Amino acid sequence: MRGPAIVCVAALASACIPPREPGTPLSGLTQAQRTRFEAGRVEFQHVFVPETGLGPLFNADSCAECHEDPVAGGPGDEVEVHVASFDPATGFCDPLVERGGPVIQQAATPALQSALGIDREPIPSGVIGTAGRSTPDILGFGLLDAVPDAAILALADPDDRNGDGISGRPNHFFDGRVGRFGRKALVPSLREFNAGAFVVEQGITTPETPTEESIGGQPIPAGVDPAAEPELTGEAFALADDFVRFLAPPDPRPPSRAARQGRSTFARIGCTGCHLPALKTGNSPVKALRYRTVRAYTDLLLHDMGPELADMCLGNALPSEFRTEPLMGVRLSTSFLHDGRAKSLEEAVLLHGGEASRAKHRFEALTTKEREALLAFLRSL
Amino acid sequence: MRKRAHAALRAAIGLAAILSLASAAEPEKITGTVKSVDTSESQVSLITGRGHALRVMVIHVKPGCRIEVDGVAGSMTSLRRGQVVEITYRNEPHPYTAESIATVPSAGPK
Repeated sequence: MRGPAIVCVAALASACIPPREPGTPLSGLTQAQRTRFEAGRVEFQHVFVPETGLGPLFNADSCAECHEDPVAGGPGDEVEVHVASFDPATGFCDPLVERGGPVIQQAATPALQSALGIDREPIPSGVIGTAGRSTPDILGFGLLDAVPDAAILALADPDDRNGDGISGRPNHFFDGRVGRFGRKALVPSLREFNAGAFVVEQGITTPETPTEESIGGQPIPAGVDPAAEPELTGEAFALADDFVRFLAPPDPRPPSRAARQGRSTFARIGCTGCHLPALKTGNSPVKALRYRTVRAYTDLLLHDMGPELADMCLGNALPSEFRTEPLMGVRLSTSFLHDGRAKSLEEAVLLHGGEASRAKHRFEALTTKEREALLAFLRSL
Repeated sequence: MRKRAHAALRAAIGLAAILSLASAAEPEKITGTVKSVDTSESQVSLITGRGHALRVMVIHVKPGCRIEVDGVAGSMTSLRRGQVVEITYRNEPHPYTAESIATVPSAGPK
């Protein structure tokens, strides 16, 4: 008799725990890890200027300039420009590194403007794929980082052997490792993504990325970038990396009755074929990341989204292939899809194509009440 | 005076041994995707990087460099754009002078 009573009390207690606010650290961190999280937030919000290394090309002067709303680590309204060139004959994707790709920075320091008369990096000419890239939230990405490669590979079904019309496959980085971060799932680890972002987004070199981006493939003019390399110490970078790694995914809002119905409908019409409700992390030196369930609503695989959404290739990802966007925290966004073209969740669903066409058509066939319930579910995440 | 001379000699021998060990150190390794192959210049361009901060490295292919494609001995003409390769190299006589190049299995385009 005592057992069920204890279970009931435990259930009531957990129901009374208020949902964590976005921007809070993972539960279960040690005091030392929480201290690093707080110190890392300072690094994440640190505003760089040319004298401290900003640029000479950049997209933002701090991490938090883009990942800003409603908290550091949340989504933002900036849309970047990325480029690559795809050769359909060979399947080779050229990220146009020698012409400034794949990220084309949208701002230049005054010194670079004076030296070259440009206020941003020029977009390479010729036959290229150009893409807009909106700013996603990065809450809970430490948990995604801790998902084993084997778990991602086990979800792949590149030849659609189960006949469900969905054929996810992993992307691989240029050294052959399995990718997972970025809209094309190119980058294998969160640390690499963060190190790359410092230099690509802010022009801030680190010990892990000690060389600046080129100016459209050309070297930086003498005297334009006065700060010595690396412009960020290894410890400052490690703190920023820990801040991102230890950010908790936002707790879903308590689901309304409609949202609960919508969750069932989301699965019934096939959305969970790609937006897999949960992944499991593997072993990790950080206990708070070890063997956890992350309700991310992604399979971290590439899927063909159809010609209407196609833009650029990256790694093995074809122009029409995108990694399934994690939906944890999607309620925080005000624009949707990889380039922010959708201004509502409903519009985003209706713009799905390719492998998602079947689920989209089922969504279109829902009653108004069912649609509203499904959208209420998404707004609870 | 003699003791000092001996100490200096020992130090010089030690330094020479360290320098000799350093130059004979194991070659370094790098893995990346072949962007281009220039047989006339004996160079391979390799895409590497961290995150989205990508870089292209120019690798010098010295005479006698061992090249393996899918486990089979080959030459520079066996290398193709898009292949993932592991390269062992030394920074002499040029930076990034390859001693061996071998393809790495990786999932390619559909």
